[in-house]
Amino acid sequence: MSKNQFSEQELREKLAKLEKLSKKILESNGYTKEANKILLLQELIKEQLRNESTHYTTSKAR
Amino acid sequence: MKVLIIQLARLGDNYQVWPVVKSFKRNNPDVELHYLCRSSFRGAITGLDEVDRLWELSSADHVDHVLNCSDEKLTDKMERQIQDLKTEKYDQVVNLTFSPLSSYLTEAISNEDTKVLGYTRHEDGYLDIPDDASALFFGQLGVGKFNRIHITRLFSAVMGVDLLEEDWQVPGSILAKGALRFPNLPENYLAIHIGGSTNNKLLSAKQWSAILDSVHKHNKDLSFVLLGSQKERDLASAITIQNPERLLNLAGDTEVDDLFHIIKHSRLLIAPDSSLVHISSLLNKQCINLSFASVNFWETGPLAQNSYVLWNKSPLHFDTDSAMSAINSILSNEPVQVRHAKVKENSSLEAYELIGYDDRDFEWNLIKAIYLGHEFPILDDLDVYQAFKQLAELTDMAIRDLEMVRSGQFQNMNLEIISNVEKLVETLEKLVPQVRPIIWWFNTEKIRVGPWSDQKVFDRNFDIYTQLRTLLAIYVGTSFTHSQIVEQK
Repeated sequence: MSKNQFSEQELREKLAKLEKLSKKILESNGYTKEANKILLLQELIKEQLRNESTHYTTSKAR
Repeated sequence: MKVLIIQLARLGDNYQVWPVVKSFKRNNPDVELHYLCRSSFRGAITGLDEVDRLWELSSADHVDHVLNCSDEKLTDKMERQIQDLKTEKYDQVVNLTFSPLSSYLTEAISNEDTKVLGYTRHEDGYLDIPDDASALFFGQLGVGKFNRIHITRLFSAVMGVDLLEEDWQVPGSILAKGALRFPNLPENYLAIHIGGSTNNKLLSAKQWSAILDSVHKHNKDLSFVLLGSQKERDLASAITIQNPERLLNLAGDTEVDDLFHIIKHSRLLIAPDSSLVHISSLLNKQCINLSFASVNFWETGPLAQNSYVLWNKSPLHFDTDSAMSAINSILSNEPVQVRHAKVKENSSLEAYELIGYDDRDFEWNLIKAIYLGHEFPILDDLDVYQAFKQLAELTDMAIRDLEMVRSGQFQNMNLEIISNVEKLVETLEKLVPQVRPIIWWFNTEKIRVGPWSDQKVFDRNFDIYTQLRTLLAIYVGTSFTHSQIVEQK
């Protein structure tokens, strides 16, 4: 799917909202099922913004 | 037993999974095999008879839902998809996608008893890389890195299966579809893919015209069938050769399945880094891959016998003369005089042999030594030796600190020193490319540390530093501290 199907502005706004929401959940309840779903959706939106760079991944070390 | 394979990457990645799926089913005929892919690429799985059930993830529908629903219903649609999959109670989930999205999804649909391979998430949300093959992927694969293991082989390593020649097969039903739709192809033709998923893989009409005209001059009886999507119609129309009757433009006229028939009956395929290269591998049809630096051809190049890779930095830097010379030599079965990579005759870890290149393969040999137990490459560069020495000194500092924590001289792990050591390691990584495989291995292993007890986290970190020091000892010898550690062990 091309990112052009949705406006970039719309996607960025939604991404910011999701990021705020996931941060709130993680801070208050930790990594819950709800946090998992929000983070999943967050990644779905991010993919649209970077044209599905499927090999991208990051994680922090402990 | 019920197994789900997740492949949420592109069309070509789905084709590259085919041999692995066939091998897995060959080895596990009684397994009920499910497969999850993006809706847009479901066509790539229709020919895989080994798949008992195909699931789809529609990115468009999910994004549409997220953008248009109320905040309360944000996760509803995804929740339904997760529940549908979770209800299947898979014994095993194999995520072959290597993306953050797929890791969250894998975790969400796995039950407590599910065996997971490929990226998933720990209970605290951190990335979980449960198997070594996926760790190799995380640490060493991608553009600008040094891995030379083909991705199909790596997929098979994640799934724990061996690949046989018979695993590269295309069902007759797919070939028949194309034969019905395109019964009147030229007698003797080259299949030419002018398209690609991104612009940095596309040659211009002028470049294609020059190549095809040159080939035409040397091979008057050859025709050219141009393949591409609707959006490449204009590009295809602008390609000209001296005898236009030899040019059949099918850009925008084919469905994915048609390509199997068209490529199978061609003399060979010429294609950029695209899914058609992988179709040629499945058909064992000779391919000339015009590859660019936007991909690592070692990982995604053609695997059919006698296939070639002609590498250029980008379409802008494309050496048309060399490509013309190589293609004409290949068509007349003469040795190729310009630099190229060729598929090796015998299956081996590296699919290609490099011809005409000054092959600086120290980093690749280092990867083989670290991950596969091969011999460490000979080091003949003083700067690299110095970098390894500095890395060893930093590792010794970290180990000394960790030992003091272990012996009770520090109350807590001295995070400041460890963190400073890691910053310096990062600097070395940037300055000296040759040491990167070791540092990437180290970073990956640290990421693999789970949300365990403090003691277990400590012990694993200690082990990782010790393993790093053992690797470095090959080049710079052991330190006093390190000898002590070995003795203690």
